[in-house]
Amino acid sequence: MNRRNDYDYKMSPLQSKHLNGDERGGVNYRWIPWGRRPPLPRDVAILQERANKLVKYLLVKDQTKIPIKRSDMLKDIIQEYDEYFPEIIERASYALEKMFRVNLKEIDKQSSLYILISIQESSAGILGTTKDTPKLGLLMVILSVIFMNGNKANEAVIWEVLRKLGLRPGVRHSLFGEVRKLITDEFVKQKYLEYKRVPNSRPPEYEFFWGLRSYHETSKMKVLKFACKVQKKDPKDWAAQYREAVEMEVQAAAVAVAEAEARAEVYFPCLQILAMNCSSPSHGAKVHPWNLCPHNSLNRYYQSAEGNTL
Amino acid sequence: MQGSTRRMGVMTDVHRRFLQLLMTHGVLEEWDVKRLQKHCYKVHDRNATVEKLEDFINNINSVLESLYIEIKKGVTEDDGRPIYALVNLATTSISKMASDFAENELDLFRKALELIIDSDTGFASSTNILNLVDQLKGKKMRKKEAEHVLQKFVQNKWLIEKEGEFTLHGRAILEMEQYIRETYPDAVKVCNICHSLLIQGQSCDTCGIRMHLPCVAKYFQSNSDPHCPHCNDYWPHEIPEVFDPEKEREAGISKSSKKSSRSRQH
Repeated sequence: MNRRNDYDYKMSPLQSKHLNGDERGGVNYRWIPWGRRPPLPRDVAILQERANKLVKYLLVKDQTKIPIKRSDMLKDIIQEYDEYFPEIIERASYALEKMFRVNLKEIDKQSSLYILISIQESSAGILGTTKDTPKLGLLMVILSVIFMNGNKANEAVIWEVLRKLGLRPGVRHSLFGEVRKLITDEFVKQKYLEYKRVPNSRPPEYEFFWGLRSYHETSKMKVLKFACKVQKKDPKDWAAQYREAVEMEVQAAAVAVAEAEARAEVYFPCLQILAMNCSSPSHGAKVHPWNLCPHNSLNRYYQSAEGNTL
Repeated sequence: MQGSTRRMGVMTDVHRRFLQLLMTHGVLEEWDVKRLQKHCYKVHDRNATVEKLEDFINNINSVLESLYIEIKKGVTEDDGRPIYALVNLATTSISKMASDFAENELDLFRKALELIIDSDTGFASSTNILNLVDQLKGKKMRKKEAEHVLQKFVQNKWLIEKEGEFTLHGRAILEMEQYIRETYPDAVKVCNICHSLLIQGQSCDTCGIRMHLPCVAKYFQSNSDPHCPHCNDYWPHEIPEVFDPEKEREAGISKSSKKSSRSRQH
């Protein structure tokens, strides 16, 4: 990357990271005002400005829960600084973590789709329900049916369950709207579910799978526990599912540790500078072994589910 | 961001959790905000003294400054309840309002907004809004669909509905005041007491000045003979009571009937 800026000054790709050192903080993040920082090359200040805009953009776009495309980020925010996309998105990620406790995750490397996930257990239900709670409750039911059924469920099976809850296709519900549209379209767009045609089925039949977002926002263990709560059983009673759920937890733990280590390496050169400010040596990626699966919206459902199962 | 008068704060997990939850709910009343703050302390820092709410929020705002957003405090226009929401400091145009609305939906909001601002009462009737459905930009929208979209706005707390009429939610006013004043400088109404944007309020029959209901309540508190602050004519309207959070909490259960017109504000 041999880019020359307006002053014909060659910018080294490492330079911005080094100068960024005093911004990195530990758990108690201290924001140093611009006035007191050492003078930065003009380009770096612009990168930070773009990163700030990107943070707001992501927060707004995430409201719809539809994954955000990298191409949209480039078109709407990054624009002419597309070469610096990795740096900008890294800064944006950092700000999102430090200010909002959310992780920016790429859930689909092929199509470059991103979502925001809350870093730790959220305080679900502390102030009552939000407008999203009923839909997430319904989603939980569907996810558990899919999981308990061997990770896929025929549309017919799903509707059997929904009928028991008083939901019918084509009938508009006060909370969910048209349920079929919700589960085959909205949830699919948001990547909570996948809706695929059964191969070689005639007349065409469809089946549901967990979507990428569901894997990130909840865990098979949580869903298993939910299902068992509804059925008043012990998770271990469902041996195969339990084994699978445990395996997923272990895998998720390994991924989380690897990610944390990778990030620590990137920031290591800056850590010495913040030794004074920092209370903990790690950059802030807390990896607590039993709090692995990041969950955001789906977790909001859990605590209110404690009180009243659907 | 030079020359900021704010003391630079430090953000801990307590503040972050608070911020995240406030964002989840969009807008919260002061009572819930205080409960939320206590909860966040309980989760992360049991032994610390709970910081005064104003300082707590200023802390968070000083960190958010570089993003041009802040937690803003406002007051509901109908009964003077303090509310808090995270707002964009950069002028919020309607298109930035939320990205989960389509072009025609945003245009419907714009039309409703204009009717509300132009109206004398601060309310626009459902009928009048729906009659404008043919003029919307973007995909053609049927009246039935427009009704659902209006309900979506109510759920997302951009509008309030009362007996078939719509007005702006406190959250919308907090977020969009600057935009509204810049975009509709002639039509906009302003409160004679606090000088902020006024959508709902009382007006003097003689000289036409307007005041927010909570501003009226405060100004004429324990005044048995209210007169217009501008022209001194007798103030003919009923003087509302000043919002008292203590009385509110004691009333508790008996309030549940009053709350039905304003759906649970979460």
